[in-house]
This record gives sequence, structure tokens and C-alpha cells, in this order.
Amino acid sequence: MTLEQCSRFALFTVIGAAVWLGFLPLYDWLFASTQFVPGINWIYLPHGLRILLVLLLGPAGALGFTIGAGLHTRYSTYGTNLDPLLDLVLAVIPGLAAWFAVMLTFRQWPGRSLQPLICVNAQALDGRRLLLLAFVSAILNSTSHITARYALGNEAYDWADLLIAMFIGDLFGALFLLYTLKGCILLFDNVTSATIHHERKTKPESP
Amino acid sequence: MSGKPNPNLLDLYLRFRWLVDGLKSLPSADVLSIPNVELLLADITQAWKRGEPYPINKLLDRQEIGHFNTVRKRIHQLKNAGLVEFLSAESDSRVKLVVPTEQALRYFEEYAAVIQKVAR
Repeated sequence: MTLEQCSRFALFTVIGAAVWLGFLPLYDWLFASTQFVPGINWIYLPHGLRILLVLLLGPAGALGFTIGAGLHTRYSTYGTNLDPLLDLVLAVIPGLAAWFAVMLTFRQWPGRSLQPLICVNAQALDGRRLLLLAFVSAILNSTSHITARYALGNEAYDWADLLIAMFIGDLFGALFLLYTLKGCILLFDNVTSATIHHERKTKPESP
Repeated sequence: MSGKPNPNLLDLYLRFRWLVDGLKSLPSADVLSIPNVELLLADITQAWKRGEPYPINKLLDRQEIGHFNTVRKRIHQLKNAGLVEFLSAESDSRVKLVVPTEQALRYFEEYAAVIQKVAR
């Protein structure tokens, strides 16, 4: 790995961790009412953020939000109830799950390598594949998370309920975030084009 | 502005644009993908452009577009999507005219731009 690639990896990791640490408290505050049990939510928007970070930043993004999740669990009230080993495993699993899901769903995307985008000749991102990615990553993340809880923790009760709640939460959270972002982008585009249209109409014609 | 641009930030911006384009292509239930809706909107816009906007009852009689109930449903789908609006006729306020909105005109403007680009 060259120095340039190392600095790129470090920068992308820091960005991933910072975005995660910035988003999670806001999400916890907004969606506290949809929590099923601590750590499992009926609408888990951060799962959508994981997908976006891996697509955007690749392995560095996955490592970034893993570090962010570790720090958040360590210093929040939720983490104090957990065994440190389980805590670590539950922080690592979503990163690996999102990474494997993207590897399974996309053959080529900018985050696959540390090369700059212009060098990797990335194909256009297909929206339908993005939906497939949300589904695959929700399956991988929920099954691995519940397996780890079952194997290492003492929360083996109602594992089927926990699995269903987590799968639904991850899937709908990701879809909710992706479509909200799409709506915001389209709204922004419409406002911008309406402003340009209005400016064109009100601009006095030059003699 | 001076100095060399940071290649990492530049690459991050390009990746961000790539992701934004992908988010835009997420599948959605677009009203204009419903059969005959685009044709109906084009008809409404052409009539309006000629200065003879369609009264709603005349549009409902357009058998070639579909059955009375289908056309009525399509008109309301266009209205709900913000592509057409109903205006009262100047001569008789009971007559409702179907006219395109600015959003519909922008849609055709973008469509024309794409055709021009392809033709070039």
C-alpha cells in the first residue's frame, strides 16, 4: 500500500467514524419510540447509512462505522450492560455484513479498491441493485447479530422474534433512508431548476 | 483560489456524485409510466398551447385513450402528481378546463432537450 493509499484509507475511516458518531445520537433521539429491545429497532435507519458508507468509502467506510459503533457502545448507557467481548463482536458484525453484502451484490463499484474513481472505471449505480443490497445486507446482518447474541450472550430467549424484528428494522430502515435521500435529491433538483427557470423568465432581454 | 486541489477530497466528491446518481435511479411508481398517461398529458398540453384548453368533459369522451372511467382516473392521477390543474372557463365558471402545470412544461422541456442531444 502506498503512502497516498494509506492517507486515503485513514481519511475515509475517520469520515466513516465521524458520520456514524454524528448520526447515531440524532437517530436514537428521533426513533427512541420504535425500539424493540436495546440494539434492535423496528426502523433502523443506521443500516441504510452503513450501506451508503461502504458504497462510498469501501472497506475504510466499514472500518470507520465499526470504530464509531465501538466507541458509541463503550461510552453510551446501552453498552454498559454488555459483556466486552460481545460488545466488540456486535460492533464488528455490521461492518463485515455490509462489506460482504456489497461484494455479493456489486461486481464493480468505486469502494472496491482504494484507487481514485476516475481510475477504476466504475459503472453507473443501478437503483434496483441498491434495493437488492438493502435486502441482502439486512439478512446477513440480522442473522449474524442474533447468532452472536445467542452464542456469546445471555439473551437467547425469543431469538426468532429478535431475528424477525432486526431483519425488518434493517430492511425498512435502509429503504426509508434511501428513499428519503432520493426525495431530498429530487426536491433539491426541482427547486434548483425552478429557480433557474424563474431567473431566465425575469431576466431582462439584452438589446 | 490557489494551491493544488486535494485528490482525496476530489475523489470523495466524485464518489458522492456517483452515489447521488444511483439514489436517483431507485425504482419508483412514476405516474408517467402508466400506459396512456403521457399521451394524455401531451394532448392536454398541445390543446393548451393552441389556446384551446380541453374542458374536462371533452377529454372524458376521448375513446381512443380509454374508457370514460379510465380517462377520468388518469386525469386525476395527473392532477395528484401535480402535472395538470383545473381552471374555470372565463365564459362559464361551471366548465372546468384541464391545463398543464409548470412541472409538466418542465418535463416536456427536459424531454425535448434529450431528443435534441440524441439528434445532434
